[in-house]
Amino acid sequence: MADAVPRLTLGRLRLAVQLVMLFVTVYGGSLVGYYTAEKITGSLPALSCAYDKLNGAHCQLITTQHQLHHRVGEQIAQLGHFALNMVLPLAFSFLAFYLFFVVLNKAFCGWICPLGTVQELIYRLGRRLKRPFRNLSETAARRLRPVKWALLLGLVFALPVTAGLGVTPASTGDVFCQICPSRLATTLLTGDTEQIMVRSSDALVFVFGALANTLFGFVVVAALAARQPFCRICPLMALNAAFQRLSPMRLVKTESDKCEKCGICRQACPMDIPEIHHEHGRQAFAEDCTLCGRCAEYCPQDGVIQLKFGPLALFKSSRAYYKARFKGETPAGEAKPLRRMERPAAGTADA
Amino acid sequence: MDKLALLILTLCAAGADAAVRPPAGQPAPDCLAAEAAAFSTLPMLVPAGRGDRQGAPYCLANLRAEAVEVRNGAGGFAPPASVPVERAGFKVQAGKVGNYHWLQATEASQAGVVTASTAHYFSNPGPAPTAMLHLAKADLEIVPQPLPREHWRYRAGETWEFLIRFKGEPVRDMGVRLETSAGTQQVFRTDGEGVLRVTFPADVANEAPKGGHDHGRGGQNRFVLAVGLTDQDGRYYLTGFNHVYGAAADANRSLAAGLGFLALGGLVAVPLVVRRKENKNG
Repeated sequence: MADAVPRLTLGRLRLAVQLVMLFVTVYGGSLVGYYTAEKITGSLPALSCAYDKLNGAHCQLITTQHQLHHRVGEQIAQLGHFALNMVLPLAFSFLAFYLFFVVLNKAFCGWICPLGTVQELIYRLGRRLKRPFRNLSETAARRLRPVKWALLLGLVFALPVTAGLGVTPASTGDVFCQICPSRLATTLLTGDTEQIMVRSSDALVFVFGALANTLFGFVVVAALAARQPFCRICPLMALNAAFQRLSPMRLVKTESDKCEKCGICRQACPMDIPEIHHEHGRQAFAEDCTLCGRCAEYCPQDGVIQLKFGPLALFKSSRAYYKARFKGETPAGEAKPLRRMERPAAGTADA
Repeated sequence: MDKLALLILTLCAAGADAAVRPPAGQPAPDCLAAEAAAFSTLPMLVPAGRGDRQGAPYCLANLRAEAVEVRNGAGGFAPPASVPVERAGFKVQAGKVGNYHWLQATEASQAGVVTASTAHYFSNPGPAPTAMLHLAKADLEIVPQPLPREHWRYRAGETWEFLIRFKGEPVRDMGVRLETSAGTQQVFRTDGEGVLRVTFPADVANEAPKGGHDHGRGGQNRFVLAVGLTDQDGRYYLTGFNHVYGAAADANRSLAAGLGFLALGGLVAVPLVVRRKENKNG
């Protein structure tokens, strides 16, 4: 008997969670109340934008930049030394961030981030529009990785501090937010066009605005053919990666002699991670992994790839699941046409 | 009635202006400067300096009071804190909890009651100010519905609602005066529910403060809303609510440039989404 496509696949569950969280992170303020919306957290490990007036939480990156600019940089400039009260708010902010992180680890990227969801939806649209499939080579995927770390260290950490010190212009105090495509995506989803206007108050601000819009335009169009184009350079991915070994939630791959010839897991991976194909153990859970679980869904070997929380296996690969999943969708995300099932002759005589 | 109220409002404001100045020889330099810079004769609580996370200094302008009532949402229905006024000024202190603070000073005489009110936000954990705003805090009140959130503010071109209440009841079809630090003076009217819809005038300079980090918000003006009425016993009431409002959302911004760069980014990505012709020879 042929394997039936399961009604509730991990992919469908993830899509449902993504859509719910897209609503919460973009429009959640309308659920929790006008004033409460910005009090839920300022430390969500996903790109929920503070510039979105309807959202239900804020992204850790704006908190980090703000505190490094005003609490650390300006205080050092005024006092000439470090004080505990400069770094305590930052420490508490990261503590809140980590409390979220303990539960879901980098699944924030793959299951909750609104920009990640938007990119996935655009990619699905690209499949419907028969756009070509572009993925990164193993070399390109590895070479692109340092960019997100450079953005985190340079734009999120260093420039806000130097702005507070007065070394760089004040407009560099929240420079990442000024170029972040999620700011444009989430505000546009609320019908707010203010953020897409380029500010012309000074040359540097104009350049940041121009960069933001160009990057956003690129991401929106590129996502029709390539999976998660912005995630590959997202500094929040880097920040999440810095903590990924500390959470009990993780991806686990055991060694199998069949893996090297297969590699379907890498085809299914939206981040084109080479390690999921070639490595096992800790190495397979690479810094770009978003814990989306597609590699586990498309692994044809029983129990080789698992999503685990502590000792608990939340999902493990199996040949039967793989065969059923493959019938509905290819590893690259191409939906397969539904086959019309003939009705059984019996029971149709009531007409 | 309405014209009479406005006349009384103006006369009272002028009277309050004459009465509020601190006695000669005991000036509070900051508050003298703040009052001198006051743009209106209506009662106000004027910020005197930037303040910080621990506290914020204010000056009374155009009214005299011995103490200022300070409420924050964390206090629930508890009586407000009473902060003494010294040399026409006071400092509102941040507690460990409570973010939105309602500041209110009242000058009562046999002739009438003059009230100034404003809101101050501290970055503290605390409840929403809905209950605090709902609570009757004076006879004649201007109640913001709602207050701007932490990272927002009133902006030119935006319409915000205020409820005008007298002894807990909405005041219908009443003229309310708006004066701004840019010199704009307008009168708005409440509707049948006592709700006032104020569209802030486009009189804010677009320039950002020099050397400041304004998150692209540009400059800001101060405003005061004031309403006055006389009750059946002939007693007058004059109440002001003052705050700040910023430049319009599209000030110093270009939608055309934004769309242009958006299109540029999209064009750069076009080669990725165009299906290349297959080479028949492999």
